[in-house]
Amino acid sequence: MNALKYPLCLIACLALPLATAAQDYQPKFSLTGKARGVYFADRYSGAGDTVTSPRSNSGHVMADLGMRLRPNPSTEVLAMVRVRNDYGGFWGSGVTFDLRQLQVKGLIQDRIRYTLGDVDYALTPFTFHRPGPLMAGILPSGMAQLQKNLAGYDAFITDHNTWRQQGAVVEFRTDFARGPRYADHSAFAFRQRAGFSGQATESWAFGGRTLWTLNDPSSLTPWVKVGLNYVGIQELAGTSAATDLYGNHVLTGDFQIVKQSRWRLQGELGSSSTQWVSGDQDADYMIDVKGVYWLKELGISTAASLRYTEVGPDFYSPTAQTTPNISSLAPAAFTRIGNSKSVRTWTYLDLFRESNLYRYRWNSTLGSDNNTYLIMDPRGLATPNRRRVTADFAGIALGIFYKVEGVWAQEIRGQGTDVLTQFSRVDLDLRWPSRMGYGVEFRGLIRDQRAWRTNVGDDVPNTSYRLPWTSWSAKAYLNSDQTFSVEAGLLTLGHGGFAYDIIRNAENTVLDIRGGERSHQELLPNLCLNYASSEQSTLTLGWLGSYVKTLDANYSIQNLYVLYAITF
Amino acid sequence: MPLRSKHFLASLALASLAFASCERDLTPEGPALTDLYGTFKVKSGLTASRAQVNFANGESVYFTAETSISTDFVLTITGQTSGAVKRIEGKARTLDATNALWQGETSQFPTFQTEMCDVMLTYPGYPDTLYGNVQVLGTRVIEATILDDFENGMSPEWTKFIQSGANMKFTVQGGAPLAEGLSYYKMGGTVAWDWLIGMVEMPKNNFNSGAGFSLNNDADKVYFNGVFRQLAGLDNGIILLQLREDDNGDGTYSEGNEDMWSVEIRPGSAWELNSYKYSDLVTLVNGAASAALGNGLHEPDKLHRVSILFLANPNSGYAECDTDMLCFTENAPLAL
Repeated sequence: MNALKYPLCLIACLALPLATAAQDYQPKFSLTGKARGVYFADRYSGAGDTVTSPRSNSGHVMADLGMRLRPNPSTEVLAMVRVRNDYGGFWGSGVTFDLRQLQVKGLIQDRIRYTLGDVDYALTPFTFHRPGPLMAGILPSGMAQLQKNLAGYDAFITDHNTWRQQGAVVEFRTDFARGPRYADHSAFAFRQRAGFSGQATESWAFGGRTLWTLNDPSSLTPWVKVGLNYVGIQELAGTSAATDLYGNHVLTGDFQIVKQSRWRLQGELGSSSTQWVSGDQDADYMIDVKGVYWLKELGISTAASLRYTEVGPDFYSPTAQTTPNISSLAPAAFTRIGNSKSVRTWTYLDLFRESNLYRYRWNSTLGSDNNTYLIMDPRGLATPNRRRVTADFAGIALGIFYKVEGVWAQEIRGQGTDVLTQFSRVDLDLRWPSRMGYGVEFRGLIRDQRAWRTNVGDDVPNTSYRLPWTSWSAKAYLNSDQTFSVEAGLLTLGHGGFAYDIIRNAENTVLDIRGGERSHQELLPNLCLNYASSEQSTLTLGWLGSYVKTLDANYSIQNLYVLYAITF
Repeated sequence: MPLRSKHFLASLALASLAFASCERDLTPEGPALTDLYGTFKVKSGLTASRAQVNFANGESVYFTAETSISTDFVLTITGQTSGAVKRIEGKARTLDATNALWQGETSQFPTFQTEMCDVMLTYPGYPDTLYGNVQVLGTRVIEATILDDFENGMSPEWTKFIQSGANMKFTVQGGAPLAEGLSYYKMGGTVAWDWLIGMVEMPKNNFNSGAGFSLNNDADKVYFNGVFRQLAGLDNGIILLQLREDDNGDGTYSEGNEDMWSVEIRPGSAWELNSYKYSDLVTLVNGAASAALGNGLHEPDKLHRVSILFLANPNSGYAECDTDMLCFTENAPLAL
């Protein structure tokens, strides 16, 4: 579980510039940001399609210029402006200016850190946690870089599952002379919806975390940390004529006990309560406990873990349960295809480069489920109505890092029946860093996910659904300083079988259950040549294909691309 | 510290037990899959809870039937004499008092009389049709402040103004098509020089022997109701309702200085019950919503008079509309 590292990470991110500012010389004005140039040459091919134009080119150059101003050692102002020009948009046409981030932060009495404006914030996976991109962590590295530099960056996706919010954050540490060693505290207030002078009901999210470290790390005694987390979303009375107000409150406690190099026990317990506009109320609880054991005799990197997670069907935590993408949107590239000009459903290729397919803000309700890419945990670890057991084992054999993970899950409350749907997922992840030539890295991942439910009734079709994925990549460095490299990747995604989609209303009540046969196959090969002049600067020339076959579509999109990205 | 860890683990175990012992509602969510995918069969036929019903005594009747799956149903009650129709629609496996209750209301005018009624139950998408009967011994009592139902001619408390146009009809009529009861009020005529064809004024001082309308002062609880139709083939008739308030309580309405709430109705060719919450009424100037004329407060208890204006474009020729059961209700729209 990553629950404990996020606040620390946030604190570190916010604190470091200021801590150093107090000690070292810092210029009063500096520039930070990112620049990017990208060009795609797409070629579409559809079986029997004689209408869709087969070629489409697009590209832009963009710079995010962050002006960092330090009027005094304890205050910093950041204003990041985006300048973007689509290729072909000369003399002002196609040029856009946008404000990407505006932030003020500082220190009060060298003890209390505050941040105002645009903030990236995360807590635990059950309280305040933006879902990662679909298949985060298993993409071939060339595709992962493409997604991170294009759609991921534009959609404010970070490595720490943060939501980009507007409001205020305050953080400070309390030291103790005896008893606990210290406690880190973080509190936030983010405005979700403005009232517009009574035309809408103003909504805020507020809460925070306090993390207590009870002792110092030691080889003799376990290191213990305990935390308390709270997130509330509340419409404010009096900001409009509405008297029935939405409110959601999530309170959890978490802990981590680490015996150095031997074992770790960690977990989170909590509950949620939701007040709907109709007056209905929902409340439920969650439990997540994980134990990790390092097998000393096999080496430090050999470990086994066991985890039990139970999230109640009425446990609602919007800031942790929002799906990453918007399924109803049509992609910008080849929006309509086929002789009947049907709207194309987005596929994984579109997620690499179209940021508008991502959710920038959480949903206050679950919305409807569909099973295109995920079925066991479409809302991440906090997916409601699941109890599950996860076991994994990781180690090294014959110089190959391997990890095997198995998950079994079950609904807690049936959907349209007392018979519960079962889920399983098995991952085999292999990595082989070789010293051949100037260095070669291989990775292969095989994932098998299933869902099944049988014997609901004589005429009720069984749920029988399978999502097999594989991800393969190889990267070879072409020179001794490893600035040039060539990568090949292959991603295969699929799902098929009979599944039921859950249709909910705005208060999470299930209105309908729609079953049907599904079939979807995607094959994404990728080949690219990289030149990395530094860790922050990469130029890539690549080819990427997407071959899609579904019940009603059979087409491919291939593209050649050039991508240059630099962070400064 | 080991002691502390033990305490901590014990506390954790207790907390886990406390959470795990909480009760959850594990009733399956959503429609039953056996209803969505099962085979349709009628398990028990259509039955009325009573063979005769007297709505005037506050009685009601409900119908029962059962099918093997939850499915859409349409229950249609038709008066053999009046031709009145009550339609109840829903989706269920079982019909009972919660979803198939009839309290004498009408879905399609006219209203029911004391008569024998045919009952028909159909399931869209399936050929099965079930039949039954129920006899109405007394019609429902309307709980409302009735301005006029025209059953005994137009109330002498009201005043009429009729332009001197051609083919003018401002009379109480009977005969089909009926709405409520056996009579309604017909307004018709051709006035080539003015939008106004005629009007009926209903001042509070003339109502209930001068006692007034006695409406609730909460505008969210008061509804104005009326049944309207337009002669088939015409669409030029406009009925303009005007409700004038005596804001300052001096007993008169001061034109342009006190509130006048209005509703513009363009009836269809079939009788239709229209209900308006008093607090939703607006000020209309030449048909467009505009600023209030008086204090801007919806005050039903200060209602001075109700005016029913019959209008038509002077270039549009003959216009004709009918109205019936003009009344105020409290807390809910009128149910006929």
